[in-house]
Amino acid sequence: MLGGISLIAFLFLWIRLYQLQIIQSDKFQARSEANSVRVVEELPGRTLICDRNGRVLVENRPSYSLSLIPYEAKRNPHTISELSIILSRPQSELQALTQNKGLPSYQPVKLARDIDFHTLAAFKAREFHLAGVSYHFDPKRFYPYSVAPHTLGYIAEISESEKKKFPSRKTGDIVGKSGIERQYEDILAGRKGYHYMIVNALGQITGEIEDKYIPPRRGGKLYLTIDLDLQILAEKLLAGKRGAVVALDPRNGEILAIASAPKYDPEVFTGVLRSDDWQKLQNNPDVPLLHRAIQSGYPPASTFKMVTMTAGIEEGLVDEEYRHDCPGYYRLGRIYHCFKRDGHGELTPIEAIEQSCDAFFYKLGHQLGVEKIAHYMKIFGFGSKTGVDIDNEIAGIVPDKQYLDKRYGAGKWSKGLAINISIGQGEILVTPLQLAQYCGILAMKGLKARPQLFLEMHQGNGEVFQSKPEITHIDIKPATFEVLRSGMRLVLSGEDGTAKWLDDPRWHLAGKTGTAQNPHGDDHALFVGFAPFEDPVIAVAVIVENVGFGSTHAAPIAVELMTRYLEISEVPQIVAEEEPADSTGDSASDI
Amino acid sequence: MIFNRLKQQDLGLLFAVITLIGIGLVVLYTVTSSNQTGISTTFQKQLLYGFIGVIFMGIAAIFSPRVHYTFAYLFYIVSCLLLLGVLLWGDETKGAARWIDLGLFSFQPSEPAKIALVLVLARYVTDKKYDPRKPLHIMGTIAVTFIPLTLVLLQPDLGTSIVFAAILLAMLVAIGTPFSYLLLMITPICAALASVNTIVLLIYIIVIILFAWGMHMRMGMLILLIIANLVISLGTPELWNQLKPYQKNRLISFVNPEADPKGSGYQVIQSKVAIGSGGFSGKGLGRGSQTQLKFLPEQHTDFIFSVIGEEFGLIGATGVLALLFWVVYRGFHAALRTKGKYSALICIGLSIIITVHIFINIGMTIGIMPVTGLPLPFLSYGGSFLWTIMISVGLILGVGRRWKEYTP
Repeated sequence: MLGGISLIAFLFLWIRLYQLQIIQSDKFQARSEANSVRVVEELPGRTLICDRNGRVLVENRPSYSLSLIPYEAKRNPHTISELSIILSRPQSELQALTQNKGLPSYQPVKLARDIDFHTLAAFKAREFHLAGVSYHFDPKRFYPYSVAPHTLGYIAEISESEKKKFPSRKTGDIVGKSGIERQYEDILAGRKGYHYMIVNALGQITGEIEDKYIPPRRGGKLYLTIDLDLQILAEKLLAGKRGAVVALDPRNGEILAIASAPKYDPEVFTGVLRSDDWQKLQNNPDVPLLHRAIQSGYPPASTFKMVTMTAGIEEGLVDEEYRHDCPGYYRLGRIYHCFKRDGHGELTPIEAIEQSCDAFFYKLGHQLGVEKIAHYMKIFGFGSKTGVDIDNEIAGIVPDKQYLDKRYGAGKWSKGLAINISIGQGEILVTPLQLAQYCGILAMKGLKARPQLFLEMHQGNGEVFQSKPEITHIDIKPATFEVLRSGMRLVLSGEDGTAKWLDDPRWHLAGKTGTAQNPHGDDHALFVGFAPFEDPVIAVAVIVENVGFGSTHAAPIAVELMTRYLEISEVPQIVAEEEPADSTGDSASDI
Repeated sequence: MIFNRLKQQDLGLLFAVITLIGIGLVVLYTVTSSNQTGISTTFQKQLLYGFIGVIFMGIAAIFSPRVHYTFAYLFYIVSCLLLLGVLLWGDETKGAARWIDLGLFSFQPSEPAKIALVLVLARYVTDKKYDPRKPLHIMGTIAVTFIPLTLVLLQPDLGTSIVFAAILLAMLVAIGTPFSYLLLMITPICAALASVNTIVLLIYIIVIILFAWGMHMRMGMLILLIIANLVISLGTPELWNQLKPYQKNRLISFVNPEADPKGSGYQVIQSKVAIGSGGFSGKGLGRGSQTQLKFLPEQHTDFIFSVIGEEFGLIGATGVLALLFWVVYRGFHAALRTKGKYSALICIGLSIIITVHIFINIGMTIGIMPVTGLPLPFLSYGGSFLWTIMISVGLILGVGRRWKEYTP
């Protein structure tokens, strides 16, 4: 009987063995692998960002961070105290980091980012006594020229909400937070590689399963449309001011320079962001973190007059014969003053742009009304985002009937609002980028290109992606552009041009000044311009806040940028004395 | 002459024993030695223990059962004194005093006590005056067992006390103790287990009563049975509180090893993973990741079977299980063939020792028994235990080859 019981006992053991080793074998094999194989990521190194000529704007520097597996720290209490000495941080702080929110205790927690070599060496010396502690290479951005921080953006650890946007990323990963870094995160980040390391029960790596290794797909080079020389110049010209500059190629929308002032040091966001640095940036009254070129709305002031003129011509109110006698004011219920109180006298449409006569446009605005002006504003791209390839762009405001009804109540607003709007004042808000695009449309006689920053992507494997310009044509008659462009040319070349002292003998420049009245302080200075007049290659918009006249504070910046660009790109210069022989000829006869 | 002697022996049993020790040594070598450290002292020691064990086996086989029949009580008394000694002067490891330091080496007196208990019980119940139907006589066997059992339990060593209880039970069954008495002895233990849950306990008591009723048990016996069950089941929660925390953890983790996967359940989980991942043919000698990467704890002592399961798969594990069964089978075979009652009983008792160790140890590695720290016969590292088992085999051989003789 006892022998029988023994036999049953043995059979029982064998049945259980069969169950474990045959029936459930797959499950245990998987667990055995999970036990001993630890996946170690190999970061690909973030793609470099260059200007259009391949000069590196953003590169990578080695940076090391230290991680700890909480479970190991619990098993070896000396780990925390030793790390506390190595990192010169209190034990309680490190302890708190390891007791994290519901993550499994074998998942490494980052203790310190961007540790210096001294600390790294101190850790390496004790590495084998510190089970579960490891160091990683992290991408850290470095900015050789410290330019365009707003546009390039910065990178930082992924947030919970961003994990939804990038489902393949996990806690601790670095992602682009703003600007180009965010817009092109997918191609900039490359793809992680994976090592399958064999670890023992102490968490020490004993080898690697080499045939399972997946190499990272390294990032290559992202070429932006920005021209570094022009960008540096733009930032230099804006230094110490508040405002924005956008220069673009009107033929294809490629942004050559885009600057916002004041700027900040992009290095602030690399490595560990110190909270007092962050506070300083956040609380600065000049809002250095604001990308004024795309996130700030300004009244366009007189730079807007070409829109009103377009509406006037297209609606049949203005033709070549049209003349307006400016007495220095326009009366509609009350007196609307022209900026020239003693009046411009009789003006042709072209002269009205040249001399920026307010009274001329008051009358036109009154005749057109807000809806017609708004209609033509929208044609030029105002009131909607340009679609530039960085985020957080604002649309600005086009004061159409719908907007005014909402603002003041249906029908409760005065028709006189159109008079203010006609000279780019009042409810209108536009971004510097929209102004540059608008100026580009005028330069190209109706060709509208979406502004863009992406030029080319050179992948690590040699593949190249090129951007395609997005071009449309707006529905305005060529003759209308003749008037607008001639007027803009005269702003610089005409006897009474508002920026005539800035004309350059080498190329025909064109533009329009603007001075925006500002209820909160001094006037904003504005200028939009393009060059060369005949075959434009650059269109510029400049806004400087609270400095006074556009002709004296914004126009010189724009002209310097345009002439510098024409120099760099070696645009053929005109023969001397050809300058007065303008395409319209009107300016000469009007002296 | 030696050849003649050998021919009389149970060669199959000898072969199984030597093979098992050999397998144990190979596994021990792979888990403790490496290219860097060379041949480990653990392996060298076990090799030495093995040789000494074979000599002990030979010596034990030489003696006629008559010899140990004569000295059974002496062995028993010496063993109990040693167990008492270890309680008073023993070395403590892991919160339990089990070892006596003899200078050159240390040993566990609880190991030879297992043999001594078998001998003394066999001797006691083969006394002409012993009547398996007399409760007083049965109480005698219980008393004889409870002295060493209590001493071992005080160390505390739960595993060995289970072995002692198993020896007693096997002897009583073998001598033909009436079923009702056995029921009276076994059921309180089941009652203790059932006492964890009131509903389970109630159902259990009802089942016992119906069972006893169906067997036409006498009324006095029935009442005794019920009282015993009630006393034990009500006293168990008290006893539970007396257990050491590590013992409690082991029992809890046996019921649910995943409850504390990094604590006391860790060993069992890792062992199951090791055996399960071995699959049909195993990962190969020295290739078991659970073993070689040290996820498997106590791999050269209590969990050596897990290494076999992982590295040799179901084939290897079945082979080892078959060899172990052969050893036990030959033990029972010798018991059946011998003419002496005492001789038969010691073969049964010693085979039961081996069986219980095998079942509890392997059961532990595959998660059907709690972690009690009982080693696996012939394979686990450790001198005292190996020698105990070898002497047991020697005694069985001694009985087996004298099957034609009239022995006690």
